[in-house]
Amino acid sequence: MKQTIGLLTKYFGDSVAVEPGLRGETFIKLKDESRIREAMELLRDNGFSMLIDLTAVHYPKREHEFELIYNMLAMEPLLRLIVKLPLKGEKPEVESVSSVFKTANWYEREVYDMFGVRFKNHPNLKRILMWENYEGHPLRKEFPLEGDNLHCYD
Amino acid sequence: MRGIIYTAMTDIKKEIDIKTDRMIVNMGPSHPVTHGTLHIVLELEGETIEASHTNIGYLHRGVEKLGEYRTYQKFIPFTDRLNYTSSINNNVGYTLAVEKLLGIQSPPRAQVLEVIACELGRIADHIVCVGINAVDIGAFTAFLYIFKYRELIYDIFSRMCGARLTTSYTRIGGVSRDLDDETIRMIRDFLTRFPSAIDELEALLTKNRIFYDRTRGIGEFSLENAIQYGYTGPCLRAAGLEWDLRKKMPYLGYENYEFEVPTGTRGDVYDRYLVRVEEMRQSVRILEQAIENIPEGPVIIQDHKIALPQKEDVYNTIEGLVSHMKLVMEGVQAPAGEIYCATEAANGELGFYIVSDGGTKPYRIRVRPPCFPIFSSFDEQVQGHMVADAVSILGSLNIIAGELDR
Amino acid sequence: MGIETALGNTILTTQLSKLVNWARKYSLWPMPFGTACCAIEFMSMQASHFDLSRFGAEAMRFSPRQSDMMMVMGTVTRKMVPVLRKIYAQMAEPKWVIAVGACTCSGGFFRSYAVQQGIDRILPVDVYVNGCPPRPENMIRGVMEIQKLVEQESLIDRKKRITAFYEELEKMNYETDYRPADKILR
Repeated sequence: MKQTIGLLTKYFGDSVAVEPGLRGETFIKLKDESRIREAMELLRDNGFSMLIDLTAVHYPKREHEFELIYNMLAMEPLLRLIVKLPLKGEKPEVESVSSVFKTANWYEREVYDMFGVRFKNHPNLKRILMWENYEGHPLRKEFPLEGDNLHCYD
Repeated sequence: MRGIIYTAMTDIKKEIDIKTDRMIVNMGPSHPVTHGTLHIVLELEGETIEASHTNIGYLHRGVEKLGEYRTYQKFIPFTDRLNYTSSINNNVGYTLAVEKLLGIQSPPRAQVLEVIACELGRIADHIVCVGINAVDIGAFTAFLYIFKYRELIYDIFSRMCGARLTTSYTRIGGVSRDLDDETIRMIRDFLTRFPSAIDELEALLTKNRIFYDRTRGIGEFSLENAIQYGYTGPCLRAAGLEWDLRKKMPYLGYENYEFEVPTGTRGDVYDRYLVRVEEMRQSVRILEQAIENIPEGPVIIQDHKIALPQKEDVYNTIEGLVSHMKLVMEGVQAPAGEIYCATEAANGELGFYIVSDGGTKPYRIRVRPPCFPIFSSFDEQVQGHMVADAVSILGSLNIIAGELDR
Repeated sequence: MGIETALGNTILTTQLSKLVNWARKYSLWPMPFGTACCAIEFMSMQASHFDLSRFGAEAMRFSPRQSDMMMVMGTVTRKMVPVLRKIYAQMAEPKWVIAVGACTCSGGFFRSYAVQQGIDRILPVDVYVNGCPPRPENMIRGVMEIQKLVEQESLIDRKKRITAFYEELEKMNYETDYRPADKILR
């Protein structure tokens, strides 16, 4: 793990910060959102061969409203690494990593559907869980639980 | 004579320009093989699939959003309905995640009970997957034979926790009820009867020529591709990698049990079937070890800030009453922070990512479903196969819409 | 009296509708519209242990055009609503609907932005089966209730009932009848 962090700080310098987790996990915060693809490529080539999960968290009160979470897994040696990517603004846009990990394709579509985070250079950025002309992004905090429109997909 | 007909045919061919466009075939959302609610649009060239487009979300119920409005205990019933063929594995996965967030561990007896529950759930899940996959291909007998044994598991579950399918067996810091002697007897009985049932299943399917031809080499998926797509569980093992979280990152004391991780070589439908069958045998092995070594002691943690006190205490002591009321009305107070906890569910890695802001409700709860990344590879997997093969591939991936869409 | 005295015990007089209903009762062809957990219990109901075929309704047809009893099992989301409506429309008359499970009857505990709160706002439901999920015995009871209904209700009565249902549905104001209960939940 130290090796990986050393590698990341070597390439990304100040834009990488290590946060200790609550129960012994390692979180890495990448402050420069334009370099996420580069970081993923670097991690993939250095053992973290699997992108287990990609999701987001909405913090409406913070300056960086969204935080993307890339959950990485290295099989040999066995390591888990969570890369966080804070994003600014109401409708943020970030580089897609679906060319690095094929599985990111659907995960990014889900994040777009649920949070409204757009991904640049994504092959097929459409809604995945809700229907196509649905309005609103359900997992944002301001979205009411029961929804604000009661129309069916028709 | 033949020549005349031949020229006549070519004339017709010249006259009518036979359309050679791709045919679009719609599978789902209500279709017997999509068991659940998937929508697949296939582009066919003759009978060969040229491209496929999958459409999901027909069972999106907003579980993650609902979780943000519920306390940590109240989310347990929602986990039942994620992967409803093995609800109990989701219960265990979720409570382990919350226990990790709280920094506690369930007592040793509860851990063994959870292992027993998990392995029974895994067997039930594999029975459904293998049985339904066989039905889709056309072997109805295997389904009827093996489903008898799933009823036995459900009888055990209903004695363990009062429900057949939606179990909600675990609690934060332990399990809801102890096993009684009758249930242990039933599990022993099941363990003596089930291995012969697996033999029966294998006799019906493994060397069945039709089944073999329909599954061998279908949906072949290389290991690199599987890792790229984030495969976990039986599908990854069928592709040839010995990867099981129970072995690699043991939880619930899985390191104390002896079992093997079966792997395949080609990653096709047949290999997935073989891996699942072998996993059932290994689960029986784990169960045999677990049922003999259940330690004595409580089944739930004795901290009344986390687990409910005994009913007698609630009725007779003021401390019991107060802690019961506080727990029911407010819920468990969790420290602020973020954790990720993964367990090996029947389908693959089931992870829970919980963001807590220090309250009694999770700020954000993310379920990492095993079959979401697996199903995303479906489009690539069916390319070049026949339409009928799409059915067997879909069955072998074991897509459960409840956890796919959440 | 009448024809029976003339011909003796060889014939039996009855109403045509009763005879047809009696015949129809034991040849229900279910169309399982399974979406979620209840469909797994449905498999149990159909498989060897509980065995629905004892009640004359085992001929599962997944094509709506060949069946006359629709069993809606599992959560119906808003994305699924048009599909359900379409499949119901494709079924040939006479047709009956069973709503199996809490989610189908009322939305269950999934009171969220994506879930249709009960299918009785879309289709004329004949029998509701409770439980989350219902036990297979309970589902079989639902089928038996349908059989009772088939036997007792003549097709003309049924048509009247269904027309009344659709008229009521037309009158319903979606703005007021679907009020988000957000505040209560929070």
